[in-house]
Amino acid sequence: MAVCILLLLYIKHELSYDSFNKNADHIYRLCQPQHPFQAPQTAKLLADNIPEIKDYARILVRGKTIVQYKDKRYLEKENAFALADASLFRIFSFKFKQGDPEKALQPPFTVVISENLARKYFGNENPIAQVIKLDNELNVTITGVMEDMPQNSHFRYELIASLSDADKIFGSESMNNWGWQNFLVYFLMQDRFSQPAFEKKCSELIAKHKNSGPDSPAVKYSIQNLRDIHLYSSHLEGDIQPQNSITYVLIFSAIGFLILLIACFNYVNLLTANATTRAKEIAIRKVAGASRQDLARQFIGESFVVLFIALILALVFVAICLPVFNTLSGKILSFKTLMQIGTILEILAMLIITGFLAGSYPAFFLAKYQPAKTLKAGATTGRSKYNFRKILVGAQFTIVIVLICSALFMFNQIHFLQNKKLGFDRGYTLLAEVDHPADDVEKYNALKQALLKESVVKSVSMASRVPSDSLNNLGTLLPAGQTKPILLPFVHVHYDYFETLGITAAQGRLFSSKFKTDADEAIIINEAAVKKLELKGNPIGQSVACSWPKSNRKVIGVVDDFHFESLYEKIQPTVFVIDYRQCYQLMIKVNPSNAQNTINKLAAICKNFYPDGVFEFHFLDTKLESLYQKDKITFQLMGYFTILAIFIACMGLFGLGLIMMKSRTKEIGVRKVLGASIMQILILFAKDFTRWVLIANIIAWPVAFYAMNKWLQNFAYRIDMTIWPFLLSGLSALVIALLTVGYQGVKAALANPIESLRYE
Amino acid sequence: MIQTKNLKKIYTTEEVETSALNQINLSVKEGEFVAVMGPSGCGKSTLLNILGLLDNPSEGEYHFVGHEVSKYSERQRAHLRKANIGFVFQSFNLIDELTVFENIELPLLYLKVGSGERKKKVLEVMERMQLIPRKNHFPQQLSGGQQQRVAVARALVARPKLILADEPTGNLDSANGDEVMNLLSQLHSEGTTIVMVTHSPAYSEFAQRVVHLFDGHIVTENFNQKFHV
Ligand SMILES: Nc1ncnc2c1ncn2[C@@H]1O[C@H](COP(=O)(O)OP(=O)(O)OP(=O)(O)O)[C@@H](O)[C@H]1O
Ligand SMILES: [Mg+2]
Repeated sequence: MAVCILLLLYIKHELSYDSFNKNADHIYRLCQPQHPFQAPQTAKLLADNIPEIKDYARILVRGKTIVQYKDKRYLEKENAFALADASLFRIFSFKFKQGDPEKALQPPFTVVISENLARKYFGNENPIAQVIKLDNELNVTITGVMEDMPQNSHFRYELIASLSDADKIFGSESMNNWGWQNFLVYFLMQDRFSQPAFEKKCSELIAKHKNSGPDSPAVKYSIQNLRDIHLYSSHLEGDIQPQNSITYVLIFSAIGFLILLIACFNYVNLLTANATTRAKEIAIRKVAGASRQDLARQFIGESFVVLFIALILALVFVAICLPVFNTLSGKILSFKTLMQIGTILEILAMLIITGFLAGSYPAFFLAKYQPAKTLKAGATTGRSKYNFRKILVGAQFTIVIVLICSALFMFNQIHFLQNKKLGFDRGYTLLAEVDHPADDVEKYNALKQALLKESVVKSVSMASRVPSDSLNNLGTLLPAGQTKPILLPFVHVHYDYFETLGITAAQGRLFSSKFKTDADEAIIINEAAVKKLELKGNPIGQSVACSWPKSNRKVIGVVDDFHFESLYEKIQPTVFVIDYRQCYQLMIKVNPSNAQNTINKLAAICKNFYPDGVFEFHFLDTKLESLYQKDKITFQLMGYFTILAIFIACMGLFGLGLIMMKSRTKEIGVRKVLGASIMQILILFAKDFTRWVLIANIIAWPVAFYAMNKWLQNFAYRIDMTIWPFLLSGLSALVIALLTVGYQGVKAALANPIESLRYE
Repeated sequence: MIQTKNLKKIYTTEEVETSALNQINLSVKEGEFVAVMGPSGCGKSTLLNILGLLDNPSEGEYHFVGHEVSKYSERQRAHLRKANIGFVFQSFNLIDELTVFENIELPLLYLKVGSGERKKKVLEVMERMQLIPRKNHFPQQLSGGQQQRVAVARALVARPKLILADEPTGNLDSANGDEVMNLLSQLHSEGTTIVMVTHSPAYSEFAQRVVHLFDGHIVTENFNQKFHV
């Protein structure tokens, strides 16, 4: 029950994403097939030409940001800072503490900050009209303070600067560059419009205006309703916040439901098991004139009382466990949500449904007893006596087996993810971001030399992307002799990139500062890119025309494919070129040593060279692991629920075992009198339960197979579906079942048969 | 076949020690039919349980087909029991979940008789007890008399040397009771040894010898005139 309430809260939270916006039904996000980012001019173009669009807002996504107020500096994490159109606060309903949402971002060089940041930067001072400096270059004036964005918003910015004078900030050339796809576009739509027609119009308009070559394939644009963004964006890459997937919500709903079901089964089981004792009561009531309805009402009423008590216990339990659950799931669910009318109604609905489910079977089962039969001992005939109860226990075990099996698969897969050879050396690599002017390569070289003097440092490099980042910097290559440029992800690096990652050249050589031409004339590609580019013969030395930077280059080396992105993704054909201007991630390979000391020392050295920088070193390893955080959490929760389900099912089984043994003591006695040994009697019972667990297995396996197959589809690299988890889960369920009833079985088998036959 | 010497059985519960049997010296020859009578609580069932190797005596000796069994372990007793003794109880003690056929088959199962032979033997007894039409019924679907016939069939099927019957007619009306008694005396005339507990003087007439128990003692042993004529 408690678990169900927790899950209900979780599911509600997940489903409630963005619905606090008054316009939520009419807000749509524009998406390309692979990602939700658009060029700067897209939104205006569409809004000007398509009447269905009532309003639009763009958000320009930025990375980590250094915020400076007076002489204090703060590094704000990724997804905290963005630039946006003033219309953002018209379309979305974020509440303001100070300032006017409509006007706050209209003047250029203005910024709205969250309450949280206002407190952090200014304490008790009034933040309005204060000037802060962003990323050491942009001075902006605070014109508004908004309440912290709600937990269930799919973006949660703390710092939103005006896009009003974007031309001045980024240059009008950039703002008209179709290639600069970094804007999220939200439309406020008319009440009624046809989505497919609208999407078609968008795609056509953009294709017409984007003066790309006639060969480039037309991109199909689509729109997503605001409410769907959080749960239905798993196909989009590099989304602003890790969005959840509807799959997980479904999984948890299913688990919640299953656990409730198991518990109901137990209740029904215990009730009907009590039937023999209650049968007399019922018979007497009936003889006294109670109708079937009266009795049914009584039973349903009783089950409600039980449930109500359970609910109260559950609420207490939830209150206690919520913090644990929050830390586990990384969500902030609050007991307050629980106290909302809607939630209370839902819980009541749940209560009523379970009450009926759990109460009705026994009610009708018992109420239909014929008094005449009941008063005669031994009401039922033949073998069917326990079948219904066994079916319930079988069903519970089916659920348990599915859960165990799934948990095993998840464990294997996560283990696999963590231990898969990624193709590079992930250990002892420190990363930090450097915000450097575009042309100070000399300064960087000096820093590199200084760092290399430290005995702990093995190698130093810079790059635009490091493994675990997504490869979303696309450029084109045109191999000599071919006509169509090929779109590929680019990684801009500096010297020693591969050395730092422990990657060697499979063919040719790596970049080297000894070759003066490497910076401008060389590229390195991976095996997948060799295939994608359809390079014939030896790839080394072949010329390609490169778009970013625009240059003609020669392939000097090929590296083996390695897992740059997470294992959710297939290895992409990737291009590596030297371009210092694009590199902002500093990579330092160190020797094993005291991590904190090393980090402090390195940060101090960096600070000498870049006094304006904020150096927060972190390990590549940690970053790689965080890729699978969501799966790990899911697995953990799944684990807890599995244990819980096993526990509940065992209680049910224990109860059933007790009842069965009790009612079979006579049978055991008879069999012993006739010469059965203790072993034979134990085997008899084991066989009985084993049969049911086996049937449970047969039902559970396909279900688990289907579910896990689906889940594993998420990963481009996954474990094989072996038979072992199935066998293991079945076996463990069997062992659990036998242990649960075993004690009672042994007790019953050892009892003196005379005792059991005496009282008849 | 059965010979007891100073047999004693004491039940110790938390507070009281009940001496259920005291100084029982009884011998039953092969082929004999003995009835045990006495008031309720005098130790009849206790005696039968010991004779049937379901329980050990507290003191004394018990010779069963030449073995001194009073100190036998549960396992040894079970071994001897299943080959030699058949039981009929007052309350039938059939297994509700098994059909008539399966109930009768049970002793053979525990004697590890092959399935073909099992079937043959079961059908034989069923034929004899006129139970063939009830073959696939469950005990709850039969009348009391029919159930007791099944119980007798089950006691017979392994062809035991000794049949112990504890008030086999106790739960039956007189017609059914007569029928069971006729069955038993028929078995007796075929050479089976029978020890039966009964409250009915009329049914004790079927036995060659009547043993009267009182408060754990044998008070009298009467030889039935009928058999001596
Ligand atoms: N397991 C036991 N524990 C304690 N006392 C017992 C036990 N079994 C029997 N007794 C006692 O031993 C005495 C003899 O019992 P027994 O069952 O042999 O009587 P009975 O002659 O068969 O009576 P009835 O005619 O009512 O069946 C009784 O006083 C009874 O209370
Ligand atoms: Mg008795």
